[in-house]
Amino acid sequence: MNRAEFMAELERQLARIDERERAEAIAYYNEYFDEAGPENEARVIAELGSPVRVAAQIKADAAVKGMGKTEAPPVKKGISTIWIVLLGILALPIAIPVAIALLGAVIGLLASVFAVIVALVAAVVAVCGGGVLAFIAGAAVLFTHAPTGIFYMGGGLAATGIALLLGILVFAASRALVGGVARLLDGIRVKGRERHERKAGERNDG
Amino acid sequence: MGFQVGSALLDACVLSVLQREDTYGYVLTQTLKSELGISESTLYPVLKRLQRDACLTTYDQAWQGRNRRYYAITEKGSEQVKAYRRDWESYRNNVDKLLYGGDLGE
Repeated sequence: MNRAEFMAELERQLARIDERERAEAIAYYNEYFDEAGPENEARVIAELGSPVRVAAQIKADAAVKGMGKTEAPPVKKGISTIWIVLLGILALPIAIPVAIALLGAVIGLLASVFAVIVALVAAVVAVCGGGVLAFIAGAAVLFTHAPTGIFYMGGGLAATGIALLLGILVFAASRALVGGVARLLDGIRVKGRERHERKAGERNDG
Repeated sequence: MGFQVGSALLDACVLSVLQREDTYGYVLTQTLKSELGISESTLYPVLKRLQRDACLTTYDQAWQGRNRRYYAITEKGSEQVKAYRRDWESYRNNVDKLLYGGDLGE
Protein backbone atom coordinates (compact mmCIF):
# COMPACT_ATOMS: atom_id res chain seq x y z
CA MET A 1 0.00 0.00 0.00
CA ASN A 2 1.36 3.45 -0.86
CA ARG A 3 0.36 6.87 0.38
CA ALA A 4 -2.30 7.47 -2.27
CA GLU A 5 -3.92 4.11 -1.62
CA PHE A 6 -3.78 4.67 2.12
CA MET A 7 -5.45 8.09 1.85
CA ALA A 8 -8.09 6.82 -0.59
CA GLU A 9 -8.97 3.95 1.73
CA LEU A 10 -9.04 6.28 4.75
CA GLU A 11 -11.40 8.63 2.94
CA ARG A 12 -13.66 5.74 2.01
CA GLN A 13 -13.70 4.52 5.61
CA LEU A 14 -14.69 8.00 6.77
CA ALA A 15 -17.49 8.35 4.20
CA ARG A 16 -20.17 8.33 6.86
CA ILE A 17 -18.90 11.00 9.23
CA ASP A 18 -19.57 14.71 8.99
CA GLU A 19 -18.04 16.27 5.87
CA ARG A 20 -16.00 18.87 7.76
CA GLU A 21 -14.65 16.31 10.21
CA ARG A 22 -13.62 14.14 7.29
CA ALA A 23 -11.92 17.01 5.45
CA GLU A 24 -9.97 17.93 8.62
CA ALA A 25 -8.84 14.37 9.22
CA ILE A 26 -7.75 13.98 5.60
CA ALA A 27 -5.90 17.29 5.72
CA TYR A 28 -4.18 16.23 8.96
CA TYR A 29 -2.89 12.96 7.54
CA ASN A 30 -1.92 14.55 4.22
CA GLU A 31 0.12 17.10 6.14
CA TYR A 32 1.55 14.29 8.23
CA PHE A 33 2.80 12.48 5.13
CA ASP A 34 4.19 15.74 3.74
CA GLU A 35 6.13 16.40 6.96
CA ALA A 36 7.45 12.86 7.13
CA GLY A 37 8.73 13.19 3.56
CA PRO A 38 8.64 10.62 0.77
CA GLU A 39 11.62 8.77 2.24
CA ASN A 40 9.59 7.95 5.36
CA GLU A 41 6.36 7.13 3.54
CA ALA A 42 6.65 3.36 3.98
CA ARG A 43 7.59 3.68 7.67
CA VAL A 44 4.64 6.01 8.38
CA ILE A 45 2.20 3.67 6.66
CA ALA A 46 3.58 0.69 8.56
CA GLU A 47 3.28 2.51 11.90
CA LEU A 48 -0.17 3.95 11.22
CA GLY A 49 -1.38 0.46 10.50
CA SER A 50 -4.49 -0.17 8.49
CA PRO A 51 -6.63 2.79 7.35
CA VAL A 52 -9.58 0.94 8.86
CA ARG A 53 -8.02 1.20 12.32
CA VAL A 54 -7.04 4.85 11.87
CA ALA A 55 -10.58 5.61 10.70
CA ALA A 56 -12.04 3.71 13.64
CA GLN A 57 -10.15 5.95 16.07
CA ILE A 58 -11.47 9.06 14.31
CA LYS A 59 -15.00 7.70 14.13
CA ALA A 60 -15.02 6.71 17.80
CA ASP A 61 -14.12 10.29 18.65
CA ALA A 62 -16.80 11.68 16.32
CA ALA A 63 -19.38 9.41 17.95
CA VAL A 64 -18.46 10.68 21.42
CA LYS A 65 -18.98 14.20 20.16
CA GLY A 66 -22.37 13.29 18.71
CA MET A 67 -23.41 11.81 22.03
CA GLY A 68 -22.68 15.04 23.83
CA LYS A 69 -24.89 16.97 21.42
CA THR A 70 -28.04 14.87 21.79
CA GLU A 71 -27.79 14.57 25.52
CA ALA A 72 -31.08 13.32 26.95
CA PRO A 73 -32.94 15.89 29.05
CA PRO A 74 -32.46 15.32 32.75
CA VAL A 75 -35.30 13.29 34.20
CA LYS A 76 -36.65 14.43 37.54
CA LYS A 77 -37.18 11.69 40.05
CA GLY A 78 -40.31 13.27 41.55
CA ILE A 79 -42.91 11.20 39.68
CA SER A 80 -43.55 7.79 41.14
CA THR A 81 -43.05 4.68 39.05
CA ILE A 82 -46.58 3.47 39.81
CA TRP A 83 -48.11 6.47 38.00
CA ILE A 84 -45.97 5.85 34.93
CA VAL A 85 -46.99 2.17 34.88
CA LEU A 86 -50.67 3.12 35.33
CA LEU A 87 -50.39 5.69 32.54
CA GLY A 88 -48.81 3.05 30.34
CA ILE A 89 -51.63 0.57 31.02
CA LEU A 90 -54.31 3.20 30.32
CA ALA A 91 -52.57 4.16 27.08
CA LEU A 92 -52.42 0.57 25.82
CA PRO A 93 -55.81 0.60 23.96
CA ILE A 94 -54.52 3.53 21.89
CA ALA A 95 -50.87 2.56 21.70
CA ILE A 96 -51.38 -0.98 20.38
CA PRO A 97 -53.56 -0.08 17.34
CA VAL A 98 -51.21 2.83 16.55
CA ALA A 99 -48.22 0.50 16.75
CA ILE A 100 -49.95 -2.04 14.50
CA ALA A 101 -50.86 0.66 11.98
CA LEU A 102 -47.27 1.94 11.97
CA LEU A 103 -45.93 -1.57 11.53
CA GLY A 104 -48.36 -2.10 8.64
CA ALA A 105 -47.22 1.12 6.99
CA VAL A 106 -43.56 0.13 7.32
CA ILE A 107 -44.25 -3.36 5.91
CA GLY A 108 -46.24 -1.81 3.05
CA LEU A 109 -43.42 0.56 2.25
CA LEU A 110 -40.83 -2.23 2.27
CA ALA A 111 -43.08 -4.46 0.12
CA SER A 112 -43.64 -1.75 -2.47
CA VAL A 113 -39.94 -0.95 -2.66
CA PHE A 114 -39.22 -4.65 -3.09
CA ALA A 115 -41.90 -4.93 -5.79
CA VAL A 116 -40.48 -1.98 -7.72
CA ILE A 117 -36.99 -3.46 -7.63
CA VAL A 118 -38.24 -6.89 -8.72
CA ALA A 119 -40.22 -5.34 -11.60
CA LEU A 120 -37.20 -3.34 -12.79
CA VAL A 121 -34.93 -6.38 -12.63
CA ALA A 122 -37.53 -8.47 -14.48
CA ALA A 123 -37.79 -5.82 -17.21
CA VAL A 124 -34.01 -5.72 -17.64
CA VAL A 125 -33.79 -9.52 -17.75
CA ALA A 126 -36.64 -9.64 -20.30
CA VAL A 127 -35.02 -7.09 -22.63
CA CYS A 128 -31.66 -8.82 -22.28
CA GLY A 129 -33.19 -12.25 -22.98
CA GLY A 130 -35.14 -10.91 -25.94
CA GLY A 131 -31.96 -9.41 -27.35
CA VAL A 132 -30.10 -12.71 -27.03
CA LEU A 133 -32.99 -14.62 -28.66
CA ALA A 134 -33.21 -12.11 -31.51
CA PHE A 135 -29.46 -12.50 -32.06
CA ILE A 136 -29.76 -16.29 -32.16
CA ALA A 137 -32.77 -16.12 -34.49
CA GLY A 138 -30.87 -13.70 -36.76
CA ALA A 139 -27.87 -16.04 -36.86
CA ALA A 140 -30.16 -18.94 -37.79
CA VAL A 141 -31.60 -17.21 -40.87
CA LEU A 142 -28.33 -15.45 -41.79
CA PHE A 143 -27.53 -17.87 -44.63
CA THR A 144 -31.07 -18.20 -45.99
CA HIS A 145 -31.88 -14.49 -45.96
CA ALA A 146 -28.86 -12.37 -45.09
CA PRO A 147 -30.52 -8.90 -44.63
CA THR A 148 -33.12 -10.28 -42.21
CA GLY A 149 -30.44 -12.21 -40.33
CA ILE A 150 -28.19 -9.16 -39.99
CA PHE A 151 -31.18 -7.03 -38.97
CA TYR A 152 -32.16 -9.38 -36.16
CA MET A 153 -28.58 -9.93 -35.04
CA GLY A 154 -27.95 -6.18 -34.88
CA GLY A 155 -31.25 -5.53 -33.13
CA GLY A 156 -30.51 -8.30 -30.65
CA LEU A 157 -27.05 -6.94 -29.85
CA ALA A 158 -28.44 -3.43 -29.41
CA ALA A 159 -31.20 -4.67 -27.10
CA THR A 160 -28.72 -6.67 -25.01
CA GLY A 161 -26.40 -3.69 -24.74
CA ILE A 162 -29.22 -1.37 -23.69
CA ALA A 163 -30.41 -3.95 -21.18
CA LEU A 164 -26.94 -4.18 -19.63
CA LEU A 165 -26.72 -0.39 -19.35
CA LEU A 166 -30.20 -0.30 -17.84
CA GLY A 167 -29.11 -3.07 -15.48
CA ILE A 168 -26.37 -0.83 -14.10
CA LEU A 169 -28.88 2.01 -13.68
CA VAL A 170 -31.38 -0.30 -12.00
CA PHE A 171 -28.69 -1.57 -9.64
CA ALA A 172 -27.73 1.97 -8.67
CA ALA A 173 -31.37 3.02 -8.34
CA SER A 174 -32.15 0.00 -6.16
CA ARG A 175 -29.27 0.77 -3.87
CA ALA A 176 -30.35 4.39 -3.58
CA LEU A 177 -33.94 3.34 -2.95
CA VAL A 178 -33.01 0.85 -0.24
CA GLY A 179 -30.61 3.35 1.33
CA GLY A 180 -33.29 6.05 1.25
CA VAL A 181 -35.86 3.83 2.91
CA ALA A 182 -33.34 2.78 5.55
CA ARG A 183 -32.54 6.42 6.31
CA LEU A 184 -36.26 7.28 6.39
CA LEU A 185 -37.02 4.51 8.87
CA ASP A 186 -34.00 5.47 10.93
CA GLY A 187 -35.17 9.09 10.90
CA ILE A 188 -38.65 8.09 12.09
CA ARG A 189 -37.15 5.98 14.85
CA VAL A 190 -34.85 8.76 16.07
CA LYS A 191 -37.57 11.42 15.86
CA GLY A 192 -39.98 9.17 17.69
CA ARG A 193 -37.49 8.67 20.47
CA GLU A 194 -36.73 12.39 20.69
CA ARG A 195 -40.41 13.21 20.88
CA HIS A 196 -40.85 10.55 23.50
CA GLU A 197 -38.05 12.03 25.58
CA ARG A 198 -39.40 15.55 25.17
CA LYS A 199 -42.85 14.42 26.26
CA ALA A 200 -41.37 12.67 29.26
CA GLY A 201 -39.56 15.89 30.15
CA GLU A 202 -42.76 17.98 29.85
CA ARG A 203 -44.75 15.50 31.85
CA ASN A 204 -42.22 15.61 34.64
CA ASP A 205 -42.07 19.39 34.59
CA GLY A 206 -45.86 19.68 34.92
CA MET B 1 7.20 0.59 27.05
CA GLY B 2 5.31 -1.77 29.29
CA PHE B 3 2.95 0.86 30.68
CA GLN B 4 -0.27 1.91 29.01
CA VAL B 5 -0.64 5.67 28.67
CA GLY B 6 -4.18 6.68 29.63
CA SER B 7 -6.04 9.55 28.04
CA ALA B 8 -5.61 11.93 31.01
CA LEU B 9 -1.84 11.44 31.02
CA LEU B 10 -1.72 11.84 27.25
CA ASP B 11 -3.76 15.07 27.45
CA ALA B 12 -1.42 16.35 30.16
CA CYS B 13 1.67 15.57 28.08
CA VAL B 14 0.28 17.11 24.88
CA LEU B 15 -0.72 20.30 26.68
CA SER B 16 2.63 20.52 28.47
CA VAL B 17 4.57 20.18 25.22
CA LEU B 18 2.38 22.90 23.69
CA GLN B 19 3.00 25.10 26.72
CA ARG B 20 6.66 25.27 25.71
CA GLU B 21 5.89 26.24 22.13
CA ASP B 22 3.26 26.00 19.40
CA THR B 23 3.91 23.14 17.06
CA TYR B 24 2.31 21.00 14.37
CA GLY B 25 1.00 17.45 14.30
CA TYR B 26 4.07 15.68 12.98
CA VAL B 27 6.54 17.13 15.48
CA LEU B 28 4.09 16.64 18.34
CA THR B 29 3.60 13.02 17.39
CA GLN B 30 7.32 12.34 17.05
CA THR B 31 8.04 13.97 20.41
CA LEU B 32 5.38 11.95 22.26
CA LYS B 33 6.24 8.81 20.34
CA SER B 34 9.86 8.89 21.42
CA GLU B 35 9.00 9.67 25.06
CA LEU B 36 5.84 7.63 25.62
CA GLY B 37 5.89 5.08 22.80
CA ILE B 38 2.41 5.97 21.57
CA SER B 39 1.48 4.97 18.02
CA GLU B 40 1.34 7.50 15.20
CA SER B 41 -2.43 7.41 14.87
CA THR B 42 -3.16 8.04 18.56
CA LEU B 43 -2.72 11.77 18.56
CA TYR B 44 -5.27 13.03 16.05
CA PRO B 45 -8.37 12.16 18.11
CA VAL B 46 -6.65 13.55 21.22
CA LEU B 47 -5.96 16.87 19.48
CA LYS B 48 -9.54 17.01 18.23
CA ARG B 49 -10.89 16.42 21.71
CA LEU B 50 -8.64 19.03 23.34
CA GLN B 51 -9.62 21.50 20.65
CA ARG B 52 -13.30 20.79 21.23
CA ASP B 53 -12.82 21.29 24.97
CA ALA B 54 -11.20 24.67 24.20
CA CYS B 55 -7.89 23.58 25.75
CA LEU B 56 -6.08 24.34 22.51
CA THR B 57 -6.62 26.30 19.29
CA THR B 58 -5.18 25.90 15.82
CA TYR B 59 -3.87 28.26 13.19
CA ASP B 60 -2.58 27.61 9.70
CA GLN B 61 0.77 28.75 8.37
CA ALA B 62 2.07 28.35 4.84
CA TRP B 63 5.35 26.49 4.62
CA GLN B 64 7.10 25.59 1.34
CA GLY B 65 3.94 26.01 -0.67
CA ARG B 66 1.68 23.96 1.55
CA ASN B 67 -0.14 24.29 4.82
CA ARG B 68 1.05 23.57 8.33
CA ARG B 69 -1.55 23.46 11.06
CA TYR B 70 -0.10 24.67 14.35
CA TYR B 71 -1.59 23.84 17.71
CA ALA B 72 -1.47 26.39 20.54
CA ILE B 73 -2.50 26.04 24.17
CA THR B 74 -5.28 28.27 25.52
CA GLU B 75 -5.85 29.87 28.91
CA LYS B 76 -8.17 27.01 29.80
CA GLY B 77 -5.57 24.49 28.64
CA SER B 78 -2.97 26.06 30.95
CA GLU B 79 -5.36 25.78 33.88
CA GLN B 80 -5.91 22.17 32.94
CA VAL B 81 -2.16 21.52 32.94
CA LYS B 82 -1.88 22.90 36.48
CA ALA B 83 -4.60 20.53 37.66
CA TYR B 84 -2.98 17.62 35.83
CA ARG B 85 0.39 18.39 37.44
CA ARG B 86 -1.14 18.34 40.92
CA ASP B 87 -2.84 15.03 40.16
CA TRP B 88 0.32 13.62 38.69
CA GLU B 89 2.45 14.52 41.70
CA SER B 90 0.18 12.75 44.17
CA TYR B 91 -0.21 9.80 41.82
CA ARG B 92 3.53 9.54 41.31
CA ASN B 93 4.16 9.69 45.06
CA ASN B 94 1.71 6.86 45.63
CA VAL B 95 3.26 4.71 42.91
CA ASP B 96 6.74 5.47 44.23
CA LYS B 97 5.70 4.30 47.68
CA LEU B 98 4.39 1.05 46.21
CA LEU B 99 7.36 0.47 43.94
CA TYR B 100 10.23 1.48 46.21
CA GLY B 101 8.72 0.81 49.61
CA GLY B 102 8.19 3.30 52.39
CA ASP B 103 5.55 3.91 54.94
CA LEU B 104 2.16 3.09 53.44
CA GLY B 105 0.30 3.53 56.73
CA GLU B 106 0.39 7.32 56.86
